[in-house]
Amino acid sequence: MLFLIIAVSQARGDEELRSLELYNGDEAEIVSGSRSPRPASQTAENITVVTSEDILALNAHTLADILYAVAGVQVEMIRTPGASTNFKLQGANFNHVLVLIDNVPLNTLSENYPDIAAVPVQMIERVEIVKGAASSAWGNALGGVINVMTKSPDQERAIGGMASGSYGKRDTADLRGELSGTVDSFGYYLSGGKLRSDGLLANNGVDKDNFYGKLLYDLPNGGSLALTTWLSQGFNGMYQDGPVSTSQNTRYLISTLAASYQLTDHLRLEAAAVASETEGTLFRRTDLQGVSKTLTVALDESRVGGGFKLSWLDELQRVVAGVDYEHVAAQVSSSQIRADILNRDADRFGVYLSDTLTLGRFAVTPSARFDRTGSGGDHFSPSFGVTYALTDNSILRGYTATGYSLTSLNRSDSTEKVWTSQFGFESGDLPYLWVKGTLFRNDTWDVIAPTATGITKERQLKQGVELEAKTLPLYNTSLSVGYTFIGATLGVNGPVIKGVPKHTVNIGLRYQDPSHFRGELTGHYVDWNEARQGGRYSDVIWDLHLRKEMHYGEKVSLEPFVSVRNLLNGHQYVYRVYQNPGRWIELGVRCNF
Amino acid sequence: MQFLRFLLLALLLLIPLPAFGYDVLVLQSLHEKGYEEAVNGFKRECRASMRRVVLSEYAEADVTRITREEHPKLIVAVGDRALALAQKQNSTPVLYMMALNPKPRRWSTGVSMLLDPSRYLSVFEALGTQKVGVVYDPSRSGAYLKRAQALAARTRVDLVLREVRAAKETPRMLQSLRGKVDALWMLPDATAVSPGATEAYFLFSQGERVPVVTFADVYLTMGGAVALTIDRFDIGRQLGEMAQSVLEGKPVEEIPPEHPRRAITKSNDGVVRQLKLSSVTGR
Repeated sequence: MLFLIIAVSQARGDEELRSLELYNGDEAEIVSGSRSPRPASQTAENITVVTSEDILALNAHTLADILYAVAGVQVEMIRTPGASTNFKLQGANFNHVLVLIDNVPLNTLSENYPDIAAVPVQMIERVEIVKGAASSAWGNALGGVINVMTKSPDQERAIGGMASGSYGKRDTADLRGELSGTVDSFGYYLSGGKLRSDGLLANNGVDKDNFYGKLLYDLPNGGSLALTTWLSQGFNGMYQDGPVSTSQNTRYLISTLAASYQLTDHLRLEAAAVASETEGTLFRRTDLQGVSKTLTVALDESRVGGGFKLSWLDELQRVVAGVDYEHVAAQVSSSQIRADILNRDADRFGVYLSDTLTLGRFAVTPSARFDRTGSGGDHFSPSFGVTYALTDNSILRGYTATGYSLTSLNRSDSTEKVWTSQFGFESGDLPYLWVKGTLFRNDTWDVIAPTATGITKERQLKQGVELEAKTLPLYNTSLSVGYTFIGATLGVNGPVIKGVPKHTVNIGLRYQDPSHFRGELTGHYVDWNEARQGGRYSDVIWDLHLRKEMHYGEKVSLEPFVSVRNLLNGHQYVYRVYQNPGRWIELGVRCNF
Repeated sequence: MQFLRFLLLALLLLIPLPAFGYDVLVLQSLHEKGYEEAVNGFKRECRASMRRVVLSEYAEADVTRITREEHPKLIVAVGDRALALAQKQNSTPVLYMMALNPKPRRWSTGVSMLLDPSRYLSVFEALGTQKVGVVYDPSRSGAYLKRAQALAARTRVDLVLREVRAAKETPRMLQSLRGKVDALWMLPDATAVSPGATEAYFLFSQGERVPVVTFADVYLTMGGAVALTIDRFDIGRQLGEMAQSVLEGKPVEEIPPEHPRRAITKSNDGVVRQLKLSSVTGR
């Protein structure tokens, strides 16, 4: 009974309770008790959503910190905030995963590398992670999609905002500001910040600035125009290994102009123009016997394009069809080589169609996309998803799709392919518990692997299971657990692939009381199945985040927070040169107005 | 691969098939008798297919995800929390009811819980009272009182206003109305009518021998003279008609928010007799 009372008090707003008391006095007949942590998702794909509230709870600095806590994602290097990092998604390498910001790829053209540590979190409203091939919707997305959705203008006020600052070991500081509001039909959202550190490890310093702006104009008759610009630039030291140290300077700029218009009751048109630019310089310095030598590699890339999307929604089905076009260009040069390593451009064109039909308890979604990549051949990527609702809050899902990734603009034969199949179950019908389980089989081929004699193409099979569970709050505390097992082999019965994590465990304990005191304890363990690189990963890394919100009037609040990372000084790294830092503490304060 | 292609083509060729999705997502804050009445009224009037999600059954609910996956044509929010969550997404129009503090949004409209002030002014006229005291929080009821004053200017009723910013100020503000009013109008304003301050209205009523006109039955037993209350079932029906017109293609932004169209008048006969008031029931 106590369980129910606690859950109810969590679930309903105080304001609503006062409204009910106002009309009903003490006679308000509320028969209620939370019976599930969350409703089951009815989509056929295996999707995990991270909201801005989750991001606050983790005291995240960049997208890397967000992905660190997601089941099925394995972040290879958690080091100084903002320092570049690699990750895997269900064992798929980072260069198989498409990372989108406002629907624009962050991945570089030369290496398909998504720099998740360059994405600050303040501007993020939610992140949706699709696991398994998503080429039937997005094209170049063999291993999945990480879709970063940005915040929209505050519709309630003409002006409001946030300012925050945090400080920790080695002068690690994160300063942020945010302004947002709406006046008549015009809304704006602006965010800026600076992330810097002397580096928690050798040659791991960071000094990065970012800005995000969104201007939104509501057109008459249900249309809107949105102009967005995101800029992230700065320096970070990558590692130091004896006399060799590597650092980089990067600059990302993405601008979009998007329009949306309801043409008829059933038909909606969306159009977008996109321009993005990526510049970077990698410095590799060698200090030997007092002589210093620096090798530089410079990168300059651009995307210009746009697309149209039509959505038809009626009593029978939901159909989405669209066309994308982009002109891409990349140039890579090195201080050691006179000629460019890469200097190429291409015109890319994609057309897609997706339909969702609901047939009683079944929903089926056939989709397909055709891409003319201009550099890596033409690709047809179909997918088929089906869900079956066992009850209102339990679902069986199946999804199968083929997909591809262009791992480089440099080589015509750099296209890698996959057939993914995911079968899952999700339920909120068990008392006080939400559970989700997925069996997956990702069969990839033409995977480029460097060998002593050059490059070979491998077939890699990654099969496994992903389990997630979350409880209702008990004594204001809820527990979440995620476990992923991946069995990776070369071919169907070949040798085990080293470096693909075998076991991943995520544990989260969240406390939230009515006095606005919140705490989050997370535990993270990855068995990297890779002993060759001097890695140490036998420890669980525990992080603790605490914050207390204090309100001053209706609009102003002050929120001091503290994070203790790597609480027990554990080791968790796959490569010796990318060791994780020991315990460190961060203090900060956030002011909302 | 061949199999997938075949499957895809076969399914695309099957279009259109009869589908059994739903049109209206009813998002209800919690299970409560009044909310259930309103939803029953809504179902009576709007025959569209619907799914009901009661938020208190879940510790967290991602409405953005639900609307994107299940693409209802309309969200009906029942209660303040449901409305706040529904307004966080911007892909589906929102109709609300049983929300005391609806925030104006471009994609949302609905039926408020507040009766049009003219209904109350008619009661004061029928009671023969001229100077009516009102305690209110400008941040909650400012707009409503503004309209009430404009309407009162056309009648013989004169509103004597007292502002409060916190619940504890209410008894003091009521005292300041001593000798200056011949009726009290109790508003559904959570600052002005808090559990601790409710008694002060009726003590004032007894001491000054002036009637309290209120908005809910529950205050009649405490000493209120007349209650002009909402009919939750009819609010549901009224919103059902609104939903029907949206589903038939009328843009939500062309539908202004409405006051409940039906009011139920009840009086406490003992208090009416004691204060020698003319009866207003049965209106």
